[in-house]
Amino acid sequence: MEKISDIELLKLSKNTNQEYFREFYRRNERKIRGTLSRVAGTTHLDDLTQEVFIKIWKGFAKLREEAYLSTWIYRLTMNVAFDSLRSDGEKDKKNIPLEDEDSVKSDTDIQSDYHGKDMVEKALKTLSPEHKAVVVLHDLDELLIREIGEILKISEGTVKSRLFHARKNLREYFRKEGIEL
Amino acid sequence: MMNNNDLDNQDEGLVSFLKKNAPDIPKTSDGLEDRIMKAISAEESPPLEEESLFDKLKQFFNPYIFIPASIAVAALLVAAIILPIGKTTKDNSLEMAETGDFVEYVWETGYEDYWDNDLTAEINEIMEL
Repeated sequence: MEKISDIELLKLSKNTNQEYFREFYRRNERKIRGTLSRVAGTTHLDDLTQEVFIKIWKGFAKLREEAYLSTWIYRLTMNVAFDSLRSDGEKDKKNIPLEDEDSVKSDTDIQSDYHGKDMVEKALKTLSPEHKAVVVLHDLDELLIREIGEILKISEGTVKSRLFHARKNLREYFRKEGIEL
Repeated sequence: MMNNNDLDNQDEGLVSFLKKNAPDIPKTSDGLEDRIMKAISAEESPPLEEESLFDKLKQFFNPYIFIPASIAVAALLVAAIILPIGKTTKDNSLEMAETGDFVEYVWETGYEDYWDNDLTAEINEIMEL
């Protein structure tokens, strides 16, 4: 089964045996969970993962351009992540100025937060969903600008602009935390 | 896949820091896989379809095909409909004028739209012969 492509697995799962979908799930689960957790957080991660795979199952038959399977899956993932952010009201959190967040932390808190992973997680949370998406897709998932444009249905120029501003905000966040990058 | 061209020098440090400290992906809950398999079994999924008529039409209406095709069809229509009508009208008119039936024909059918000075001159010329 290892030699069967993802697209073939989906076709086989439709036509013959749904167990092929299990293999598809096993291959793609980590990538999808990774993107979801970094964009939408971990609170509802299992539910969101399930939602993405059900959307893949239901929508695959309508996918005309099989070459765009990966882009399509990323698009579903991002849509689910954005919907989750909206429903959680996390979108509003992006408007909280960095100074306000800092003001509620004591020096001790800041010191204890100085673990890289925590810092990056918190820094990502300060970004708007749109900025967070391009940083996650480009800098962590290592997708190309063109691919990100296709996934988010925006121009390459817009992707670059968002990436520029997102990085600027991140650098500013880390600078306030005492790290010059 | 990494596209270093997209990175400014000043961003390399930042991106490297992000990668190194990317938040861990939480461990998958036990049973999620079975839960998803159970969920998709309950979900209706449309069968895979061959290319439908609608898709073929959509392909046809691709601007790169549709616009040149429309121009070609329009040109053919002009050639096939407009030109023969003009030719036939004039030929028939002259033929009828020669036989003396044309004036009567125009009178009866309201064909005066086609009556113009050139035609009048030609008919007069023929009638004088």
